[in-house]
Amino acid sequence: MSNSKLYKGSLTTIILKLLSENDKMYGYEITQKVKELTNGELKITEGALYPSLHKLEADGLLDVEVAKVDNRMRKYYKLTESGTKETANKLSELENYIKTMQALVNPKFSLE
Amino acid sequence: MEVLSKEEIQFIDAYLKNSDVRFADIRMEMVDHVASEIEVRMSEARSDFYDTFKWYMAENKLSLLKQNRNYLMESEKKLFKQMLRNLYSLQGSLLVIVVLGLVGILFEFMSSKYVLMFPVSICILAMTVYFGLTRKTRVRFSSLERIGFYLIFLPQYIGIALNYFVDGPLGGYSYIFVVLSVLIPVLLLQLGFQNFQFYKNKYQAIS
Repeated sequence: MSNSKLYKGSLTTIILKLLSENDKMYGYEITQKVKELTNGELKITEGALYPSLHKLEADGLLDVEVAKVDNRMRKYYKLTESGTKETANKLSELENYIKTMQALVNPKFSLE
Repeated sequence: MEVLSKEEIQFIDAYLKNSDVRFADIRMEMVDHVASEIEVRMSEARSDFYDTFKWYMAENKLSLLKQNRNYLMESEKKLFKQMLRNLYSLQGSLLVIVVLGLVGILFEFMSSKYVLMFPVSICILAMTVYFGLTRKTRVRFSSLERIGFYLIFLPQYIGIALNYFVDGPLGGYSYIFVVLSVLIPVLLLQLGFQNFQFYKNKYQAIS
C-alpha cells in the first residue's frame, strides 16, 4: 500500500469497485490497475491485497476461477451476486465519508 | 513482454515450496504474482531470469512468507464461517434435531459404556470416509488438510474428555458432550465434502 494509512480502510472498496468494472481480474492485474489509475500514487502490495481478496472470497462476495495462462495457473476473482450488492453499499458509504471529511476539512460558513 | 518458460515457472514453484509454502492453492497464486512481476522487470531492465528472481526475492521474500501465514489464518476463518452457515441452514437444523433425538434414545436404552463409545465410533467413521475421499488428491490443499487435521485431533480430545464422564452417571453434561462430539465430526465431514468438491471444480488442472 502507499505510504499513507488513509487508503488502508478503503482497500476492500477499491477491489470491489475494480471488479464491478471488469468481468474478472487476477491479483497482479489489480495491483497494476490501481497503480495506473492513480498515476503511481497508490501502490498495493501483495501483503495487503491477497488477505483482502481471500477475506472477500471467504465472505462469499467473490467467486474464483482457475485457468492456465502463460505456462502457469492463474486465479481470477469475480463478483458474486451478494458481492455486487456489497459494492453498491461500500461505494455509497465511501461517498458519504468523503462528503463528511470535506465538510470537516473545508467547512462552508453561513451567516444564517 | 517477456513470458517465463515452463522450467522458470517450475523453478519459482520449487523455491516457494522449499520456503515452506506447502499448499498448492496458496503457492499457485503466489507463483503467478511473482512470475508476472518478474516478467515486467525483465522487460523493463532487459535482465535475465535468475538475476531478476534474486532481486525480487531479496525485496519480497519476507512479505510472501507473511502472506502465506495470513492465508492459512484466513483459510481457518473461512472454514469456521462455512461450518456455522451449514449449521444455521435447514439441513443443519435437521441434523441437530436428529442428533439430539438419537443421543436421547441412546441415553434411554443403553448403558453408559456404550453411549460414551458412540462419539468415538462416529469420529473414526468420519475420519475413514474423509481420508477415503481425499486420498487420490495429488497435491496438498490448505482447507482439505486443515479439515483432516481436525478429524485426526478430535477423537483424541474426545478420548481424554471421556475420562471425566465414564465413571459418573449419565446426565445433562454428558448428554451435551455426546451431542457435540457426534455433531462436530459430522459437520467436519460435510465441510470436507464441500471443500473437496470446491477444489475439484475450481482447481481441476492441479488437483
